[in-house]
Amino acid sequence: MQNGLSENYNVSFQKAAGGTNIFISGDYSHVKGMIVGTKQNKYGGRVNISSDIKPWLKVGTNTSYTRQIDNMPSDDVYNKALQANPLLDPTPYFTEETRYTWDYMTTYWRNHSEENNNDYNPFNSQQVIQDRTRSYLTSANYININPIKGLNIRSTFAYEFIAQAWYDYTPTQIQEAKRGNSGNNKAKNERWEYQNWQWDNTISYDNTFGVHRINALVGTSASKNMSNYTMAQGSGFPSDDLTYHNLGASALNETIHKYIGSSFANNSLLSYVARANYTYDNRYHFTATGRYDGSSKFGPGHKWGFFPSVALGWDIANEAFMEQYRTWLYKLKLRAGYGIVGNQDIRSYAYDTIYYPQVSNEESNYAADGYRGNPEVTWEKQKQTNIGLDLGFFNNRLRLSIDGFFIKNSDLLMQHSLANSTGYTYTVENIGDMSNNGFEVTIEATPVATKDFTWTIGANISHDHNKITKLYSGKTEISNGTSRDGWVFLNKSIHGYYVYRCGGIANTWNEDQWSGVDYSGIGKSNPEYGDLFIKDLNGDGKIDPDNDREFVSTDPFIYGGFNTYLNWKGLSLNAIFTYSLGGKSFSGYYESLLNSVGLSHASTDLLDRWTEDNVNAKYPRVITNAGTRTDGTTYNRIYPSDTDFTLDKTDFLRLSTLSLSYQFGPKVTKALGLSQLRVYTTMTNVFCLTNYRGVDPEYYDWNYPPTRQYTFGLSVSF
Amino acid sequence: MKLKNILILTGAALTLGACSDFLVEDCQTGLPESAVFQDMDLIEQNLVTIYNNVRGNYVTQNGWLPLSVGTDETQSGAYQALKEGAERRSLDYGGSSMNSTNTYITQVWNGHITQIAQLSKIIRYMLPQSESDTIAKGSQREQLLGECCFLRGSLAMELVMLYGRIPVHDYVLNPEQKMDRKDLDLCWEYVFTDLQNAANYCPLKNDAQRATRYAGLMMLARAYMSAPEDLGLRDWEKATECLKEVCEYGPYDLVNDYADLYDYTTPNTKESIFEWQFSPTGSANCLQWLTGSRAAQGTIPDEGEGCLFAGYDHCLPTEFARTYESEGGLWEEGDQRYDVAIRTDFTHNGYTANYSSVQWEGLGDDYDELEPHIKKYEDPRNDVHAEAMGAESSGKNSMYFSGKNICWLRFGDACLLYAECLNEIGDQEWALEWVNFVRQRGFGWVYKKAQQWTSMSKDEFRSKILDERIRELICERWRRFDLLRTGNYPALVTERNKWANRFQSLQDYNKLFPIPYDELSQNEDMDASDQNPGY
Repeated sequence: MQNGLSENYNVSFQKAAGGTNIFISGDYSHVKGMIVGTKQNKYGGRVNISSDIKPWLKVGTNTSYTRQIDNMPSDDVYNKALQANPLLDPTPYFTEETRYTWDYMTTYWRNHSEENNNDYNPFNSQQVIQDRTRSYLTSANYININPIKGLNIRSTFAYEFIAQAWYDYTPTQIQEAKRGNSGNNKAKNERWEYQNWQWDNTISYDNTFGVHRINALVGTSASKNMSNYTMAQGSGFPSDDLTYHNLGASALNETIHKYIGSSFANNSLLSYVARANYTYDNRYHFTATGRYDGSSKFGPGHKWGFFPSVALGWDIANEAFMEQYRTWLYKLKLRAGYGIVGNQDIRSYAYDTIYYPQVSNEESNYAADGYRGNPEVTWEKQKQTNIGLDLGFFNNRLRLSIDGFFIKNSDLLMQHSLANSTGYTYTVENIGDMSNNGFEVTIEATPVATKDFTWTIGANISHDHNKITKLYSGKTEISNGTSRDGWVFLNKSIHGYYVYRCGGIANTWNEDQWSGVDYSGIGKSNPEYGDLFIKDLNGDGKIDPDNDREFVSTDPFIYGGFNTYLNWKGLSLNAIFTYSLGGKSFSGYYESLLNSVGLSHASTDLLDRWTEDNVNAKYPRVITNAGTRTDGTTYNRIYPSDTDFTLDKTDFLRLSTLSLSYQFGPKVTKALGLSQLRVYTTMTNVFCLTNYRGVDPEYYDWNYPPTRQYTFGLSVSF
Repeated sequence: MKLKNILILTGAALTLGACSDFLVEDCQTGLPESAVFQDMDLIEQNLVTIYNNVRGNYVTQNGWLPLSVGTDETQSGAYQALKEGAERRSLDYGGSSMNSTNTYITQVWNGHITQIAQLSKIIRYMLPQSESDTIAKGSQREQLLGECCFLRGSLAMELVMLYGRIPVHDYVLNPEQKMDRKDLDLCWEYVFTDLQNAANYCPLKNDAQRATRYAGLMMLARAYMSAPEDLGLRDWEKATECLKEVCEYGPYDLVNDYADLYDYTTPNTKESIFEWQFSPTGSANCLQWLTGSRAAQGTIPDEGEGCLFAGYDHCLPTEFARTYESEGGLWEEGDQRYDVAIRTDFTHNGYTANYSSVQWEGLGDDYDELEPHIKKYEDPRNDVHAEAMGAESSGKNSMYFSGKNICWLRFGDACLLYAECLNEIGDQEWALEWVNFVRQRGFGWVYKKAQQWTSMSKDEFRSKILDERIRELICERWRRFDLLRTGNYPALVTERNKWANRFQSLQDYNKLFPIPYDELSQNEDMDASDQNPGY
């Protein structure tokens, strides 16, 4: 690993004249990542034009293009390094003669107790090449016709085109080739192409008659996503020099070496919308909307859904009877609304059982792939009621917003597993209802606002409570077998784990809690002094998966952030904090460290493990399952990961961003012939206070490790 | 111009919604089930894939291993039996980890019942749909119906023998399609009906890895031999009749050289009644990975996992099954099948494997990586030096890709079953002819008088035939079924399997595997009370 570096340059030009506005910009950025071999270059440009071609005809376009080129190391470089024995000597890597000996290449897996020969040498893995290019064109265009005052006929056409290519190459001499590809090099080219267009047509009317203001709109919207994918892979190149550039040069012809594939998929959406807004005297607001949406993802007879919404607002502060308070009451607005929104975020063709061709022994035949089609699948509906209050005091120097929301999701779309006796393993269904109720409060204040000095502080806090309120066919739970996640329970949150509860470490003083309880139902030995024990929740003297597991919700109780901003004569300091309280999560990585019995990486926490001299330890005794005991029985350890022992609170307080900037005053800028000059520096992820023992309480494990970034920048305007 | 034209254009744009076809997007990389079931050829393709999926029950850890260890002929290697996870160890000697959450047992269940459900869809479609609908003799429809019944009947039979009462997917026997565990007589009626249909509808000849009438008859005979005696379902007479047709009138014969059965250059021999097709470069079975030696992988230089007999000692012969009679074991001097089935020599290319690379296992007196191993699944094409050995290299250089065909039903097995039936119905003279026929081939056609079987009591014949089946069929995934149907489970396993013997924890209730927890909890027609006793 190394320190990463990121650079970003942007230049833009802007002009507004004679009813035409133009904005043109270009940017370039370069990133060198934290894992050796990570690099990214990005180039882009944008053109925004809007123009009054005629007094009644306005056209415009916002079009941009970006091209991104990435070089990425193989995942094994980080993942295998994370698991590797840190005492191994890497010097053989640094000379060509010793880098590819069988001994050095295999040393990383031979030094794991279970000798898993999938653990490649992470140093050699750096020679795997992975390059990616992405081109992204997006264009939003409109034509607006204004025949009479207040009436607008507008047509918007948006188009998005993304082309992505991924090239990778595995050279001959490393373990990946020797083990995974019979010692042959391998190259792969993959291309993806996505197109997305959306065409909206609306007619709207907007007018003010005295104290009445009305705005009405009807329209249609049609959109289509089209994607396709092609890949080709070959092995047996004459040397490693040409890497992935000449696939035709691959010599090996069997189907496992020469591999081609492709895929095509489309989705479409059609909507009809009508909306009306009415405001009376700037005090009373009313909006009503109706949408009728159809999706290609659902089967015949289930494609359409109706989604209305209505909202009311009352600007109390604008009322006549509030005149007297206007000196200090800047704003008082009451809002209420109700609406239904549809969700169709599921796989394509979910309504049918699809038979895909499968190739085996040089024959290609159709077969079901385990997914059972559901012809009834349809829109998930989210019904949301919200009430809000916006307040502003002292000329808006103090602002407060309070929102309460009551969301009910019905016909929840969920993929779940099926009993194999059905002939399938999973399906997607509208399985039930879920509610999510909560509130959010935001407060912002500018305690000081003088000519030279401004200080603003803000804070927000959110709380919500999630609950499954109904499941299909009167079920009270959706099982996911022996897994601890994926279970869904009636009247509980959708987020949580179904776990055995750890009662602590078996000692002489808590014997009545664990002695005599039979653990054979879960395949474990009865605990002895120093072992973890599981709570026998139903008190029947044995531990089994149906009666002794408990659902633990992982939702946080409150979360949010607060920030403070100070500005003195052009020098400003901004700090943003985020926090969360009450959430919980498992960390797979920490669990694997805590499960160690001395044959693998272990957590330093295990220095405080139970032994006969340390019976008050926090962590259980470390003992392997090997061998048999004198009484002929074998030992099956209860690992921390078998219980909720490592289910940690994810409470955290993080200083996410700290930035300092200086904007030069007019004297300096005029002297240099500039209209604006600013320098700034930012630090992200400054500190994080948490007791969570995993990698990160917000981003959890197994992603790119949480980074701290220092940025230095300069902004110049002419 | 403006307002009128504008309104016309707008109206046109808004009527885009009239195109209801706009929201119809069909899958472009696969066919919906309704399209497949309209075309007999596509249904046949689906059946071929189902054959391949059933073949998956003969592959690596999930399908093959749970049924191949824990018997009196084969057992787990010492490392797997003593140090591997508790679930893995329970396959040999039961205990608390042989429970409903055991993933190996769950995989066996899933590997069978999913295919049963898929086959049932096709069978339902193929059966006469109305009074006037008949199946034309010799038609593709008849053949596909026969083959599906063969597969479903065989899978159902294995499930009933392994798990006890099972759901019955047949639409005729279970029209409401409730998937609860049915009574044993309905389950066996289901098996008998399917296999009888298989015999009636399958053709006399078929392509490789496709069922024939003879395959159907052989499985039907096994069903009659395995059904519970106490329910009056076992029928030796009917079994004899089926096997008579296979053995005396079928187009099969024993191959001259027993070794040819395990030679990749001679697949699909005249002895083969049904053979699973594998290939090291296509669909491999990876069985050598289970039957080979870790000591070889670690100490034969330059070969590693590309050594002919490398592997992970998951499945080894028991002491009884690898020693000669003179030492209290199974084998007789002169029996050529010993050297074909069992490896005793761990030398390759001038190097001899040794225990130095496995010292970390800490097995004490139990080290067995260099004790005799099973040889039947070694595939020389995957050896690093294949060409030097006279074999055609597969380019894989790893024993993991062992891909020789596996003969599921063969004539030698049919002869022994026929002999067993003849003994039961009282015709021991004819039975002895058939046993001696198989044994003679096993001894390389050099068969001395002392080795011949002569008249004996019915009971003695029964126990001797069980031993002969080990010699002929060791490690071919039949033993557990043979022990279950002859009532010798768990007694013989506790006697001869090193680990079952050491821990003495195999109980009578272990005759049946537990119903997997994933099935009990997700199947609406089953609940926790449906579990087999003891679990």
